[in-house]
Amino acid sequence: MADGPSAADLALLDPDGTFVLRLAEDRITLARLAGEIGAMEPGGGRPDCLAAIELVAHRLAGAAGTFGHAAVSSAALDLEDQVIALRKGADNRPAVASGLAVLVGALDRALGSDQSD
Amino acid sequence: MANSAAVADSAEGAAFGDGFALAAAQARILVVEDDRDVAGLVGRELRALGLTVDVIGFAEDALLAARDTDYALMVVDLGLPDRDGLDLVREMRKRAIATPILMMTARSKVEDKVSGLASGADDYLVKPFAVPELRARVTALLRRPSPLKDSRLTVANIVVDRDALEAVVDGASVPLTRKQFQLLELLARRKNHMTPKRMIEEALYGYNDEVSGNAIEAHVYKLRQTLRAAGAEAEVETRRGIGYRLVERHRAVAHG
Repeated sequence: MADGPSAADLALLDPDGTFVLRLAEDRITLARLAGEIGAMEPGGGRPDCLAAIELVAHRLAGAAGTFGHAAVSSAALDLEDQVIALRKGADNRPAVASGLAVLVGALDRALGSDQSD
Repeated sequence: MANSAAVADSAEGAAFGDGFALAAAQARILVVEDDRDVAGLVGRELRALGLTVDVIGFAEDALLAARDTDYALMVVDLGLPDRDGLDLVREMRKRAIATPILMMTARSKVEDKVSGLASGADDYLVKPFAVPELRARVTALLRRPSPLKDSRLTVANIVVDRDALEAVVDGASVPLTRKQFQLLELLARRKNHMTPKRMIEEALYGYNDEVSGNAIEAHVYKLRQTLRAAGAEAEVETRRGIGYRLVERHRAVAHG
């Protein structure tokens, strides 16, 4: 299965390229949030930071695959599940950090570049 | 999933048959989705099917639109910013809005699907979705007669038979013109709810039809006269500047 849509698919699914721009913006947001969550104390996690990660992940999970970026959707859905578990009290902050890294990597591949920090 | 979806041809008339193309020409769809990109894609694909599409991002706006517009189908996202999509569907059903609803959500768990269907949705589409699946589900729902939509509407002693295109009062057929019947059917479907004049114009006339300034008033006047003469126990109430509604006579208030 291809990681991303073909050029022909993209021409129809995202004719003016606005979705790719959104992916780039979400990538920047998630990288910033990854920095914030990384700086938190173990076991902690600011609710607003976690809520922001969950929101971006939720929206990407629903939208990216529809625009042909299945790997981004899949990584976003995994991350969303991990953040929900953390917000409910699970001790899985490393899994959230790892999920963030996986999603940022998937976004980099979708954007055709490797900008991993 | 590479969504080769959109690469499929856009000759939807051929793909779904002439019957669908004919029905689609009159169908108006409401898409309730706050994700601008997904809403844009869904809107674009449904318009390519020949449907008229309204896109709304908030549940409360969707409720108002569903109340005022005769949609053939609603596509509703589960996660809306102001209200849960399930809540929205439940509220619509509570208000007797019978329009078929296709729910969209990023979740694919069985319990999510069951909740969606139990709340009153007719079908379920898991995001991310392939565009051909969206088209196929929309087409199937538009073809399906909704169990909530009875072909016979009853208001007091008036029965509007939408299959026979006939109105009956106390068992006797009432002579109505086509426009009068369409008007009565619309008002009966929205019994007790105000129906704006603009909505009546849209239901009775095509976009390219010339509509004289007082055409609706004239149809309402004639319909009111005919119903009274037939002994109907419901009448068309006018609210100046707002619209019309069909109410049982004991509830009716004379407004002119």
